Amino acid sequence: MLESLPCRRMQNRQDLITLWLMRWLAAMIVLLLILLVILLCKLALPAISKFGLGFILSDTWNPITEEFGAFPFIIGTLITSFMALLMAAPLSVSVALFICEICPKQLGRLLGTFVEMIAAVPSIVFGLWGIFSLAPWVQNVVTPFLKNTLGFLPFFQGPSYGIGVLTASLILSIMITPTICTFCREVFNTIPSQTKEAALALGATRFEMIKIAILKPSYSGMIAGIVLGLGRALGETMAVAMVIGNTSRLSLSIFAPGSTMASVIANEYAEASNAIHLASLGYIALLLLAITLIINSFARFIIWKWTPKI
Amino acid sequence: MIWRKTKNYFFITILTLSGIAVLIPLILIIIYVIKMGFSSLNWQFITHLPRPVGESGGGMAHAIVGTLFLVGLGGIFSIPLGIMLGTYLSEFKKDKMAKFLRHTIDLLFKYAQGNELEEHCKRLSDAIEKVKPLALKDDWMSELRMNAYLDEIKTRKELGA
Repeated sequence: MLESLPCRRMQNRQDLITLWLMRWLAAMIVLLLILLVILLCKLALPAISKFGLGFILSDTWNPITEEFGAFPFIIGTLITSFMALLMAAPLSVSVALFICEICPKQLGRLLGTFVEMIAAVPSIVFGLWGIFSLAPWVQNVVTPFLKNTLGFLPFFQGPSYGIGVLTASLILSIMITPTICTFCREVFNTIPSQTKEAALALGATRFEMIKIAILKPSYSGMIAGIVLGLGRALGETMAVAMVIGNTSRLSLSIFAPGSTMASVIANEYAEASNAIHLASLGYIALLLLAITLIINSFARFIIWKWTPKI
Repeated sequence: MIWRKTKNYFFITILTLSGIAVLIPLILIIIYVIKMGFSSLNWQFITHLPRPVGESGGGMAHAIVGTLFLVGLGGIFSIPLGIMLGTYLSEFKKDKMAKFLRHTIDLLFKYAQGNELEEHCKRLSDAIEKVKPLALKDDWMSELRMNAYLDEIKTRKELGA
């Protein structure tokens, strides 16, 4: 057996060459991101030096007087994303539970494929459907219902034009459902069946078994999946830009049109008339990148905490 | 007991309903696209360029060809790179650069969804993860056998001395 040693050494040399090649390629990709950030900074530099950090809290966006502030867009992004999460997270988790625990295996696999198909629908198709099909429905059915039941709250007042924050959130929630659902399914599948069987053997009903043996241990995994979905919702551009209405005014009502960071960039970069306008859009892009990075690192951190140390 | 059973059935009903509800948007979108688009779908639409405004007929050949070009070129650039990096991520998990790369890919995946590279990376990384035990089993076994052999030699020497 010892005569196989030289062979092993040659294998090692091959391994080493491959390792360095791959490292080099990986470094290129990392460099790509760094260059992207540097270019973005360069683009945003005039706006950064002119407005400083006050840009984040200023709510005027006026290309004619060349005054810019990102506050309406940051708020729009956060509100649409969190409303989408509020709708999508419970739905996705229960769908994942349904697929993993309640339905027969074959049917579950089929349903899982269908859910993943939602992720394959191009976002522009979502946008078109949102404008022509979802927006009238929101205007004629959802808005009167919400006004009649919860109309005393300031969030549910004011006219609805169909397009607006609520419609954008609905579209977003549909778009992030597959992300969360697939992640949660993977988390639920890691739970050994002995644990579940033990819970059932102790006399727990299906619901109690799911509560004790599945939801509790996979809590952090679920949170990580939801945070990943949030990351997806923050960066979503095209579908949101089509249905949100695109104004830079702030409004308490969720029926009112608004704007998100991604949608304002998509809408205005082509017609930005002066350098400071373009630089402000670059600044918004930089902020969006920073928010995404933070959210993403947070999800990574949770997953890292949750992974058992071997 | 009745209360627990009721809760159980209630819960299962909710899960089943959500399983059905999640399909509704997908079905609605597919119906919508077919309803709006199917009537104008014919051979001419795929093979012809758009005619000037006012004339009937014509097609979307330029857009279809453009999409194919985009996807094809994107694939040529990204698939080899994706395979390499996917292999790298799954084989050299502990390498320092791999950790950076994983973060970068996560971020790029969020930021530019049209980019194919990251998806390939992830898929491949998963696939290799599944194949690896099979491929490496032989290697590991030989190594284990080698270790046992060396151990035996060592013990014998110690005992002999």
